[in-house]
Parts: sequence; structure tokens; C-alpha cells
Amino acid sequence: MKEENKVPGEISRRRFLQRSGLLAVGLGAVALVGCGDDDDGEETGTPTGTSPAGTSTGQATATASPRLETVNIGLLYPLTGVASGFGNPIVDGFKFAFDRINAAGGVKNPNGMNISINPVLVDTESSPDVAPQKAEELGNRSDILLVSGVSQSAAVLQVAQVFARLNVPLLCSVDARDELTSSGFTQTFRIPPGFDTGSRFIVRAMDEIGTAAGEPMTKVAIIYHSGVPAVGDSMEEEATKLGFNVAEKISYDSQTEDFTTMMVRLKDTGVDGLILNVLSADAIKLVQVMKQLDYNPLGVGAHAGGFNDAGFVATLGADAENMITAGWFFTDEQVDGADAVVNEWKQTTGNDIPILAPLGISAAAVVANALSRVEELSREALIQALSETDMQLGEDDFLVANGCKFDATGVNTAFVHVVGQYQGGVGKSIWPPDIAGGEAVWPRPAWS
Amino acid sequence: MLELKIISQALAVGVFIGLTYALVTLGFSLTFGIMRVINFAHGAFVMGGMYLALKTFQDLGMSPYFAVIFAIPIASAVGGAVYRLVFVPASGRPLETQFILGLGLAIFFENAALYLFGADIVAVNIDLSTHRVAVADVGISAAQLIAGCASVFMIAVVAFVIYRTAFGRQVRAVAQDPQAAQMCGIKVHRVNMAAFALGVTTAAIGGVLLIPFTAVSPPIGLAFSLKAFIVLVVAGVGTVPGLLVAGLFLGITESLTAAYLPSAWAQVFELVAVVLLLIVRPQGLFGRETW
Repeated sequence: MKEENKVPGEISRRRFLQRSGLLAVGLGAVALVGCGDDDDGEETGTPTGTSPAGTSTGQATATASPRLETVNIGLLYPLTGVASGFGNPIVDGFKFAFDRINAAGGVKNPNGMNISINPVLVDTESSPDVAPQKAEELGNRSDILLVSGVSQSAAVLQVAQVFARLNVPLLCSVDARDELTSSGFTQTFRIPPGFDTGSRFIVRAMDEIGTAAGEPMTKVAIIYHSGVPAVGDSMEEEATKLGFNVAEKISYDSQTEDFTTMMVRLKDTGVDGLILNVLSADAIKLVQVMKQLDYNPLGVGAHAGGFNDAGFVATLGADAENMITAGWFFTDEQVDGADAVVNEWKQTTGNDIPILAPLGISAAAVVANALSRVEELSREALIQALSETDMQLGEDDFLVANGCKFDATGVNTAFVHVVGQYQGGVGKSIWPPDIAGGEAVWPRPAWS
Repeated sequence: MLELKIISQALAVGVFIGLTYALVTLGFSLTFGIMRVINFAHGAFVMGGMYLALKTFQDLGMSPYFAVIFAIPIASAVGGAVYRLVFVPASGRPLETQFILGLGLAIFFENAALYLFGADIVAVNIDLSTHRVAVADVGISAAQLIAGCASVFMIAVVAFVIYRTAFGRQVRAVAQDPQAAQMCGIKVHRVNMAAFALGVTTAAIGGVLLIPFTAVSPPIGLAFSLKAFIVLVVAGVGTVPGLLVAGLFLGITESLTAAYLPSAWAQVFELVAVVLLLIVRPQGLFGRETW
């Protein structure tokens, strides 16, 4: 074929043979050097042609410089709309962690790879209709190795179905729905459990804190949003198990304009502990009404939800003081490496680390940890690696107590909620004692 | 004894919240009575008033009640502009067109608020939010008391304007027969625009009064439109006493329900009442043809 008639990119037969020969010589040389360098002798006697692929690759990479790989990780979160308050800080946490990993040369994989991670951000627009569509688009992209999302209870099960059908590993950094991992999605993994399970921690914590202070609660009321009915059941079950008299279990919904009547009843019936799962606006209203009525239970504690919202303290100011909240991370926790992350965040962004960002950072740590163990860059290999995750708290910037180890359904069995209390306008960790950086103020000082 | 106290407490809260509902519905009722438009964007102006009060408190460091000073000119101007730009071109179109227009406007305002203020649910906490005003054991927050009393005052002012002024006569004339009013020399669009702006302004003032004890986020506008719709159906068109009674019905239903049942039941009771009224007395409890 004449040079001028060639199709661009096409090579001549002669050049093809030249290149093939060079490649064969090169590969042979690498293989010979690899055999020669193996001192333990266990694998040198194994003919290359019959060795398992993994072993062969390992021998080859023992001396060859690792090849650089880039993987795309989908981050499917609500970045706009009503749930964006959850999505953005988590995604910021991911980006922060991936930047740190990439700046350090990527994930070191013993199978001859240094893996750089590229986040692919996709916005669910806080819409339960949009989220599955975007999941479908992401899942059908062959270059996406894993997706994390969606922190949007109304959409998460549909999204999980899509990814299950397309066999895309889904790593959930936080979501309320327990059904996510109890519905048979074998490639789905979650770091904190759903709210039904997680809400038990606040009951346990308030019990232990009150007992340790010598003034335990005896008669408690549980107030929870009607959107999470099983949370109320879980809290009641746990409280009953711990010997509390559950005076009332109250379901309310977002239409509730005023909590005065409810609080009058609880105060007059001698309820000395409030255990809550409430939305942001309702958390503020409840505290305002408690103050208005000069109602002073020994402790007021909430699982996630409104008490964790940055607007809770910003709005209530001193009235938020000594309120207790079960969260995922507090900056004063006794966790290896946490200070470095918190300080670097402050230096990089100029702001304090948001309460939800460590969920993204920890999920990124799980992704990196799994990538460091995969034998090949495939979804199947990553699912396998995720299922074998066993990370300690503080390991590789995993900041969510108490480490990460998934069971067969994909739930992190090592998880423990850290419970904090607003002291001096800042959330301080007060439980569990081995992680907590501070002491609880118990009982809550009276309003007056 | 405790039951009596709880019922009294629920009634007290329900009455004062109900009065603010009546104020919020006043403009909705004016718009429907005069222009025959179910303006589902009405709640967006309540939301606007709430955000204005929030910003007055947060950014200017002033009491949120000072926002009334800004709310009156801003809401009047925006209301006039919305009427001129949206409802004048649509006048004479079928009712369903105007209904959809109102709904579209509501969605537009909700998204504008989302863009301007973000999706977070925000609130203010001032001394009046937590200061209790009580008689015996029954009380409400000072902010609720102010909202209820100010609502009654505002409703009285608007009623005076409608029933005792020359402008009010023109409004009622346009409401009863726009063509006849026009033949008498009344500038119908100008009167409509002024009435629409008046309604929008009352909604915005209602928002200012609500913010010390109600959190705000962009979707709250449609929620208030729905409440106003329920109050209007129960009250009927063109009746100030009807608005007060229907507002109290809504407030007390919500408050009493929240005392004994999951609060979602309040809306069930309200909507059942609406359906029954529409069957038995479609003009509402006190309704007339127009204002």
C-alpha cells in the first residue's frame, strides 16, 4: 500500500511485524528479569505459562514501575433542590479525599497499578423521578466503576434497583432507609446503617450518660416524624429493653404548626427525657416551645435530623445549648488522623468542616481501600473487594466510628453513632466514652 | 383536669394561628371574588414576606417585624407588576387557563426562592418566640399573640377600605359587574390591579407576622395557598366574618388534632369538611356571589 493512500491511523504490515517483534522481545525480557529477581524460589519454578494470571502479573510488576490508571467513580447526589443540603457537603468530602489521594500519587495497588480517582458528579436535582434516570445513564457508562449515592430516601430504592440490574457497585455514604440493604441488592454497601437501626444508639447513649451522671431518665417520650415510622418503633423497643417507662410515642408530620399542646402534656405528665427524630424546622419549634413552657427534662436527645442541621445552632443560638444529637463525626473525637483532616479542610476551604463531609471522606476511604486490593479494574472485582473491607477507625482517613466491615447484606457492622452535645455553641462528642472528646452536661440546666 | 388544660391550650394556640390564616386568605379571597382567579401563587407572597423578615433580622440586625416597612411597597409593586404582566394578558380566558397560570407562577416563585435563598429550612429565634403570655395555665408565645392581634387589625383595615371608601365601592362594583362598572367610568384593570396588590400585600404582611414562630423554605408557598384555598371554600367569597370563622376552624382543627392524633389527620379532617361543604353548601358557610 502506498504511503499516500493509507487510511489515517492504519499501519503497514511491515511496521506491524516490527512492532509485534519488539513487544514480544520486551515482554520476554521483563518475564526473564522477573524470574531472576525472585529470591524465595517458591514461584520461580512455576512455568509462566501455567501460573494463575494474578501470580504472573505480580511477578511482572515486582520490578516494572506501576502503570498509572484512572478510574471514574460516579457521585450521584442531590446537588440542587431541597435535599442539596445533604448532597453538597458529602460530595465536597469525596472531592477533598480524592484530591488528597491523587496528590499522594493515587491508590497503590500491589498488582502493578497506581490508581488515580476521578469523581463524576451527577445531580439528582433532589427529585425521585430524576434520580433513577441519572442512575440509568451512569450505570450504562462502561467507564464508571462504582457509584456512591444518593442520600435521598424517596429515590434510593429505585436507584439501587437500577444499579443491581446493571451490576454496578453502589456505596451509600448515608441514607435513612434500612430497606436499602435488606432488599437483596448484593452489590450495595452502606456505611452508616438505616435510621431504624441507627436510632437505637441515641437511646443507649442517653441511658448510659444519665446513669453515669447518677440521674438517669425514668419516664421518656419519643417524638418522631411520620415519614420514618419504624424509627419510632425502634426507639420504643430499645427504650423498653433498657427499662424506661415510655410514656408516649408521638408521630407528627410536617403540617404540624405548633407543638405547645403536645409539650404541655409531656411536662404535666412528668416526662423527664425526650428522645427525638425530627426535621430541621420542627427541631427549632420544639426547643422554642420547651423554653416558652420552661420545660426542663433531664436530657433532650435526637437521632440525626434537625438537631444535626447547621441551622439548628445558627438559629437558636444559646437556646440550643446542651441539646444532644447522634451524629457521624465531631471534630473533637479521639480518632487517629482526624485532626489532620480537619485542619487541612480548614486550610483548603477556609471553612470549618461541615458535619456531613466526613461521610464523603470516609466513603472515599472505603473506595480507595477496595481499589488497593482489586486484582483488576472491573465492577465485579470491586464488589468482591468491597465485601472484604475491614477498616479500623482512623485508617486511611476513615472517620466514621467505629470502622468499616460489611456483612453479607452490605451493612457496616462496625458502625457506632457518635453522640454529641452543643456546648458553647459547638457540637462536642460525649459518647461513646472511648471516642468522645468531652464530658456530657447532665442533667440539662434549667432554662431559667 | 389535665384534659381540660390540654383542650384549652389547643384552643388558645388554634385561635391565634387561625387568625393569621384568615389574614393570609384575605388576599386570596379578594382576587377570586373580584377577578374570578384562583391564584395559587398567593402563598408565594406569604413566603416572600417570611424571607423578607428573615433577611431583615439576619442581614440588617433588626427585629423581623420591621420588615413590614419594606413589605408594603415591595409587595404592592410586585403584585401590581404580576397583575399587569400575567393576569391582564390572560383576562377573558377560561378559568382553567387562569388556574394553571397561577400554578405556574407559584412554581416560578418557588424556584426563584430556591435560587435566591437556597433549599434550607430556616427560621428566626427572637425573645418573643419563646416568651410565654399566659392566663392561668393556658398560654401562647408572645409572637403568636402579636400575629393574631395584628391579623385582626389588618383584616379590619382592609374591610374598612372595601366597605367604607370610594375605592372600596369601585372594587365591589367591578366584582359585581365589570362591564357595568366600566360603563360607569371605572377603570376596571386599574381597580383590579390595586385590589390584587392589596391582597398580595396582606399576604406578605402575614408572612412577616408568621416568621417568629414558623420556619420557611421555598415549598411553603404552595402549602399556604392550599390552606388559603381551604379557608376560602369554608368561608365563601366576599365575607370577612366568614374568613375569620374559617381561619379559626382551620387553626383549631390543626391544633386539637395535633394534641391527640398524628397531625396528618388534621388535613384529612379539613379536606373532608371541604368536600362536605362543597356538596351541602357550595357557596361556603357565609358566602355571597362577590365582595
